[in-house]
Amino acid sequence: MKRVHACSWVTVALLVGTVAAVLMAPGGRSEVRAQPAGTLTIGVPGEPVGLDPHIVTVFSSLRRADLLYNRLVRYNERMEIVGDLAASWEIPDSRTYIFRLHRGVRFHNGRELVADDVKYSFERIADPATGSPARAWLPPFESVRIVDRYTVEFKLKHQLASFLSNLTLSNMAIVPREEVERHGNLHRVAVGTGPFMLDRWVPDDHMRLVRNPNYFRRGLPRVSEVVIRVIPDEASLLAGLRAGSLDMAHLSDPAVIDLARRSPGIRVQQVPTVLLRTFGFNTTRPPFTDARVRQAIGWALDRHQIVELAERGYAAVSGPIPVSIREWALPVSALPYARPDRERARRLLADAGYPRGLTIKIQTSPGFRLLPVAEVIKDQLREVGITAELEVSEWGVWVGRWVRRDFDSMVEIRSGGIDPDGFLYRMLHSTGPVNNFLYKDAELDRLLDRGRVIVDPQRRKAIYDEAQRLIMERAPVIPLYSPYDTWAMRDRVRGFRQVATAQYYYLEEVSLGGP
Amino acid sequence: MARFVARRLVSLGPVLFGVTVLVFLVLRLIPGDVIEVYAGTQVGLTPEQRRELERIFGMDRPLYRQYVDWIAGVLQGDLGTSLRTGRKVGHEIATRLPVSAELATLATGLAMVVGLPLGMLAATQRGRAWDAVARVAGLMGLSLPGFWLATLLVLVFSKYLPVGLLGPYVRPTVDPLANLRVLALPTVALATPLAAVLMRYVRASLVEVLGQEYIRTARSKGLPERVVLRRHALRNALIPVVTVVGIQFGYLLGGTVVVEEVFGIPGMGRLVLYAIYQRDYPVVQAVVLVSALLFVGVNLAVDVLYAFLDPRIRYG
Repeated sequence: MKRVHACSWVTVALLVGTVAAVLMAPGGRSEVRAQPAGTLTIGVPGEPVGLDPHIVTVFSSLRRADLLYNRLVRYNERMEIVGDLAASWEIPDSRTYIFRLHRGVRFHNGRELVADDVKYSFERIADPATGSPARAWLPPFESVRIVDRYTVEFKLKHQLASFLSNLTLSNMAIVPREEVERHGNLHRVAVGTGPFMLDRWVPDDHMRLVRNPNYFRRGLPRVSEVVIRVIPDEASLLAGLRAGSLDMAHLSDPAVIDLARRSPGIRVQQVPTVLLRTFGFNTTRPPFTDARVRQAIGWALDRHQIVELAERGYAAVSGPIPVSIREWALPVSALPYARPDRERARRLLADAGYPRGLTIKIQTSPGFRLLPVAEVIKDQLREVGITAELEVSEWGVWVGRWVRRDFDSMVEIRSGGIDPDGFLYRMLHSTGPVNNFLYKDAELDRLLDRGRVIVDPQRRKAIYDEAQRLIMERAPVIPLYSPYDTWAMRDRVRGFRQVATAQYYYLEEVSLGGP
Repeated sequence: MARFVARRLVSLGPVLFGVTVLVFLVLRLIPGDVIEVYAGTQVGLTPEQRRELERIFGMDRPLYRQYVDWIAGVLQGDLGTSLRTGRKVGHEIATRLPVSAELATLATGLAMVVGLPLGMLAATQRGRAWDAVARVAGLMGLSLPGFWLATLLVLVFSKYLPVGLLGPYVRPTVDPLANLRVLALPTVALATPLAAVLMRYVRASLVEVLGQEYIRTARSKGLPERVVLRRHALRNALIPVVTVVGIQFGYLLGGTVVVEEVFGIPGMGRLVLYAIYQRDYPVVQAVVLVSALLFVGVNLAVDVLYAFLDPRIRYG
């Protein structure tokens, strides 16, 4: 159903904006862009809980923030850090970061974004009273100094090599102080600098965003509005695409993705995410106290087959750092268990004192596709004489066992940011908060401690290469794969760059072709 | 009559009190804890963070205090706030209840349209072919598990008969026709067992009435069978059926978890299902309380209706 937009001045502003954009387009880009036009309708499974970019933790909320706000830096589709609000930055020493902002960036309320907004935003995130999840990703600051109207300098109390990467998180948005003070928080209002502005939000139904005519990236966005519809059922998302009521849909169910790929007029676009599916062991419980048993399982598993059977192929086999983080992840072929070696697995089991095999328990739950993965693992382990018993419990019970480390082995889906420090330290350092493997390894600890503070990219790379090999060899956890992030879209949708972090900001570049 | 209603209303007090205590306690006895589920497995809460969350969720208070605060809120019309969405539970229920109510009404209506005539047919044709057919059909309808029937309907209408009956839920205010279209299959899934129950009730009740002496009298004074049936038999036979319909309707009003989940209908059943998964205590408590209230309310209405339908029944 098509509705006439109430604010026709927006359309006028759009036209003016486009003309201006074309006139002022930098010399390098001579192509004349089509006028921003059309409504991009997106179907997503989740309703946002709130919109305050500093406070929200829910995926669906963060994805709205991607469109409404900007951060200092962001990842591009090749997983390189590029400027967002920051036109450039320098790191004169490993504790000092200086960011120069784009000039003429305007908040949706019309005011220009300046260095003071950056300072305010990070102070707000760092304030415990705000309750921001992003606080955990920031180092303590010695100072945040405004050098001039468009330059801000962070001095860290101690080195944190992942600092720049952490600034790309959607929670690190730059917000205007006056709007926070007027509304208390930004859950129901959205005043960012982002490509789209909040027009209408009908909870459990849809959200309408209109093009920001003053967006600092000239000529963007290329559509005049985005309507985000919440449709929790994936089959219905696909039905919407087929019927033409949706242009794009964010999918995750492999069965639905299969159907989407076979639908005429619909294109599927996928990249491996920064999530990691793992099969981990409680290293304090026999038989998993013995590294040989863990290694035997590593050699027994055919991870490509797990991807085929449990994810219908929609995942990429990965080492301890998700393969999508190309800068850091070692290729799977350079690490142990690249291909199954069942003879070797049997030998290791025999050495460990289980020549006739053994029985293990896998704790699992029907949610988050844990169960299908565990079932394939069970089948594969049988080939080397390991009988796996699946203990299936309800999600809440399963989480409780995770928290109490009351398990022998479990399949999980893990996230940990994009920097190797964020990913590995939390998961495998002996003091890591999500090291539920209870793994303690002085050598690995030393590597992770150094990787945390050494900023020099080459030295840092050597450290994490070694850490990845060590983790695979000692096998407190067998990394399995990174699931794909999947978008299905109608053929008329053009130019969507997908990022492994699944952030939505490149929707600003999407344009609509013919009908 | 007024005294009867008043007395029943007063007796609702203990019933609802019992419901609140039960749901409050049982919910906290389910293994798995709200804060653990909230934090998930990727956070690794520190003890301070855990205490902070307990404070935010109001779980740092002793159990009896939490109960009293909840009841105090309910009595003032505040059903609480969802731990997950931060929205008022009253608002959540207000958006979900009409969906379940519409589905319940449609299903009950369909069940009556199908079940009553079939029951009458079986009773009047007792012992003959139609009776056997109706009884077998009834037994089948009764024995089909709802989740199986619902899943089967989805399979058939997505794979073999894709006629557009499956799709995202549409509000009747947006598009009434599309609304009825997406509710058609869930209605059938819910109505099938209900129609079977009704059919059997109507049959049994009618068979009994048809054996009464006054029916013989009516027949012997030469009334056509049609009139005997309509004026003398049905009126009496349908009275117990009212109870069945009422109870089933009250039960459906509270939402049907399985059918709503299978068809993706955003009603009360789905609301409470996901709230249980997430241990969203305030939502579960409120939904159970509201469902209980609706159920006893419908029952009371049925009892009152009885007095109108059957002049012999007098409440004093």
